[in-house]
Amino acid sequence: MVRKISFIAIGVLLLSVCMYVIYINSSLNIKDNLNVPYEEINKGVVDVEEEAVKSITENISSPVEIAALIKSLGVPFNKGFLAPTEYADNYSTNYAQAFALGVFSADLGYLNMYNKTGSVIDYLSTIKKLADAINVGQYFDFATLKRLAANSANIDSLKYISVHSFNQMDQSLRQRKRGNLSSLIIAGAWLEGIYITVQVAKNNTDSRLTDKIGEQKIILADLMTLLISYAKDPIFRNYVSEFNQIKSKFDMVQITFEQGEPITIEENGMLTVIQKDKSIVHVTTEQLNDISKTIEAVRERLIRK
Amino acid sequence: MISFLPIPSYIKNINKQVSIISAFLNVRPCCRILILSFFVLFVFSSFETKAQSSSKLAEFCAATAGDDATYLKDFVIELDAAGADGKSPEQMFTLLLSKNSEYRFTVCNAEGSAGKAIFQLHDISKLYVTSYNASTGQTYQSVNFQCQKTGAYHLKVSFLDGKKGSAVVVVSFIRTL
Repeated sequence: MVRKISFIAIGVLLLSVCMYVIYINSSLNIKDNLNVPYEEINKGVVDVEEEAVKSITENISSPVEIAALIKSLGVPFNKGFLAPTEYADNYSTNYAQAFALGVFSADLGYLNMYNKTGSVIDYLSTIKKLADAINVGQYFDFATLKRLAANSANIDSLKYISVHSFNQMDQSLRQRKRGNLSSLIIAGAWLEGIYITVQVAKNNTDSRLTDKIGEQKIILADLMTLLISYAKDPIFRNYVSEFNQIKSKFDMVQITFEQGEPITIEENGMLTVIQKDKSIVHVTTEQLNDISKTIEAVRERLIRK
Repeated sequence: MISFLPIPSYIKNINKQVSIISAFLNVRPCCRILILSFFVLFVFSSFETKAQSSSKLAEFCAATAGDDATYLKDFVIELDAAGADGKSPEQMFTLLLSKNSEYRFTVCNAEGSAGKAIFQLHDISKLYVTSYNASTGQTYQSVNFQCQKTGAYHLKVSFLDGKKGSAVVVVSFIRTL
């Protein structure tokens, strides 16, 4: 009897240890399958306080908003704006993979906004491949997303799980002191979002588009703070240098502010606050063209790596 | 005299821990392994459960935000009860909001949360949104914010009456203005 209990107990113990090891591996295994040495990955990370990084990254606006603006202007979907998924196999470092993950996530947001569930699967599988390469694939529920993409009636769930998965990946990378990769995902998503916007702006002069491009000066300033904090790493420094070229063009944009008191209205039990402060973007056509050309050139160089 | 002095609580706790350990050592080795196994399983499952429950709450809250809302981000809040000074603990998050966008902030309390979460949205100079009207005592689960100024905003979350609680605030995008 005692022997029986001992066997069961040892069995339970072994099972629990195995489960624990699997758990640790799935969430903390960061040395396997890395193309850049682990020591390289962590260079410069200690220089950035986790809370500081958190406050910066939560500041970066979502590609969903840009896609929604473009759609609201009645601009038709254009697949030519998207980054080709064939490039995904060429990325040989975790930096390039993280950056591309951000680029394709913005493309996914654009596809989702236009309910293009047919093309989504290609982007989902590319994102999954890149997420696995940097060991955050467990946060990307590919099977569920693929199932949801098969039916356009599931678009809301698809949008939710896509964005939520990215938030979890971002959180996990930062918790695991891999904020450098997280910042590259954010940088990639930002660049792709603004690239799509400038492409649309070429044939559309709506002031909301011009505003959206000009106000990226504020967002880019935050993004640069984040990127510069990892610039001790020579590979990373290249990304900083590329983004600095874009920043130099945005430096010419002027943003002024007007004050006003907010108005609160209540309708059908829903409270809505209307802000009366205003930010006003001052940007010339020439400046817009300059910004546009630089964004295109930088994106072309970075997504081909 | 000495026997009338109260025993400090930390000594009481140490005694309690020593007696638990000695009781554990006195049981049969097989039972010891069994107890240890359950302990490891308990610790493992509690980690998992906590992560899953906040994720489930975020999913529920995103659905609560409405059909017209596109999920952007969620913030998990866990706060202790107010201390002796009576000041309610609060959690602060910074986020960037864009001009010409309407956002919805939705708060959902975790099941069993003692406190009811309330939030405020402000920037460096002004308070814009509050989900609690102190004069009427009314709380709102969702509040829309029509943003006209791109910049950093601060979301401050606390629990009513300084109670301990856990909750999630979901930020959704509604429309381009």
